[in-house]
Amino acid sequence: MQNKLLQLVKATITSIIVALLITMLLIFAINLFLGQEIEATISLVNKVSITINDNKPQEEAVLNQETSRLVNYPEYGTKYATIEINKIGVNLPVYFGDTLEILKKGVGHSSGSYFPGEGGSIVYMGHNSKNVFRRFSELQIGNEIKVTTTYGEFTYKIYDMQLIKETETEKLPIQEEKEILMVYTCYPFNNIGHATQRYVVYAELEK
Amino acid sequence: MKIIINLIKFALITILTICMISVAIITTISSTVLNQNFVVEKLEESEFYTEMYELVKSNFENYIYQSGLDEVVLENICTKEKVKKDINTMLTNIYKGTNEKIDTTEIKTNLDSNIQELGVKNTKNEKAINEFIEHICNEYKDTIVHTEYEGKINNIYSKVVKIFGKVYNASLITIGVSIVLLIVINIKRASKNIQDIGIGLLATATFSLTAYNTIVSKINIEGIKIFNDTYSNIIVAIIQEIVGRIFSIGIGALVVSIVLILIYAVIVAVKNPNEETITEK
Repeated sequence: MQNKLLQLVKATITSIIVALLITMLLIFAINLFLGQEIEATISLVNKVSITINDNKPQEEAVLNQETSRLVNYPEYGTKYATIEINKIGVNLPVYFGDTLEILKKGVGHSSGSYFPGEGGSIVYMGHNSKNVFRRFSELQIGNEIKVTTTYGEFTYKIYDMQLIKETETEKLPIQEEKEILMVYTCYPFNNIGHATQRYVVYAELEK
Repeated sequence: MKIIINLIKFALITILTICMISVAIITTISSTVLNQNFVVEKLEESEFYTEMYELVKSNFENYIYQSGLDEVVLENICTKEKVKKDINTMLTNIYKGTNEKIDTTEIKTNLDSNIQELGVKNTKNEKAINEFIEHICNEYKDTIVHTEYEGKINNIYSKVVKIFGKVYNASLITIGVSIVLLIVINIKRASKNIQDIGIGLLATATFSLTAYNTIVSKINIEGIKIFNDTYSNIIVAIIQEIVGRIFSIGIGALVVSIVLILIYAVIVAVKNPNEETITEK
């Protein structure tokens, strides 16, 4: 009986060992011949895979005065400021990002531009609808634009207004020598149909 | 001689395993991502058509803000049925290689009629309004069909189906030949065939489960984002289904292999208590 049991165990273990040997052989061969391709594929898939950690609270943005750079940038799509233009009764939330979905909620901050306080070009945009920038034409040089962020308050003074084509991106230059706020909307303001022009307001940091 | 026979058997079982893995992979992929009915079923299950319809409406609304027109012009310009029909047309283009175009005449006519009802169209803004209508129609196509990818995907699909067909048939033939050769080698002891097939299945099972574990641990499947949430959800659902099937194949093969190996071990223990187990006498 003991011999039979021993044979049973031996036969089972031998079979398992041979099977594992074959598996390891196959895995080794696949790693040898396709390892790089598999790693590249995994890396590619993970590039379009986003880890969302809802439990982790977003750390508040802070402006480092020495480097003039933000610590803890706002997450894309989140509200981080409000923009006030008293002259035309604008008081709107500013979101980091410029998707159409964001523009439905308020003013968008172009993700390629600097943040208020960083000393460079800041690009904001909004629709020309009644509740957003429809009254842009009433603005004049010298009017103020106030941006209140979670890390400070910034006031800008308008020094120029320009009408540009939708393709003239060079008229919204990104630089880091001087803090300039550029806010634009579609033109004509009472347009019906597809708008191909943009009305841009240029303002420089006052204080 | 004994060593040579054992080596031949080892090689045959390895080939058997490779072919079984190939058959399992091809069956899984052919019955999921390469199967139009499966994809349509998944689209139905995941409310894809409804979500796409909502997405289309939402994208239309984004244009209305800069158009200066009232939102009322977008009412009833497109139906959920049309969205479903056009998505299925796109799938047929991909899977069957047809080249049916998406017709936006209905949207164009409805939108134009709604704008006419508002009474804002005149000779001055006619061009801009027509351009707006054109943008809405293009937006619809861009949201629904991504026409530029259809032809490319169909080419890849046709090639993959052809290759899979050949590999599948070759694998089945090789499995048959390997089993016949194992039977010939084990001619004096038929019970050895049970063990050999059991080993092949166990290797297939461990390989499948290793592959499953690698995919699950190295890729954040749920976080995959392509085009938009609606597309991403369906892609995630299909990948999860494939990975789930790999796991099921692994578990199924594991159970069958353990049964076969135990049957063989019992036969050995009952009939030949003093015999060596794996080596040939």
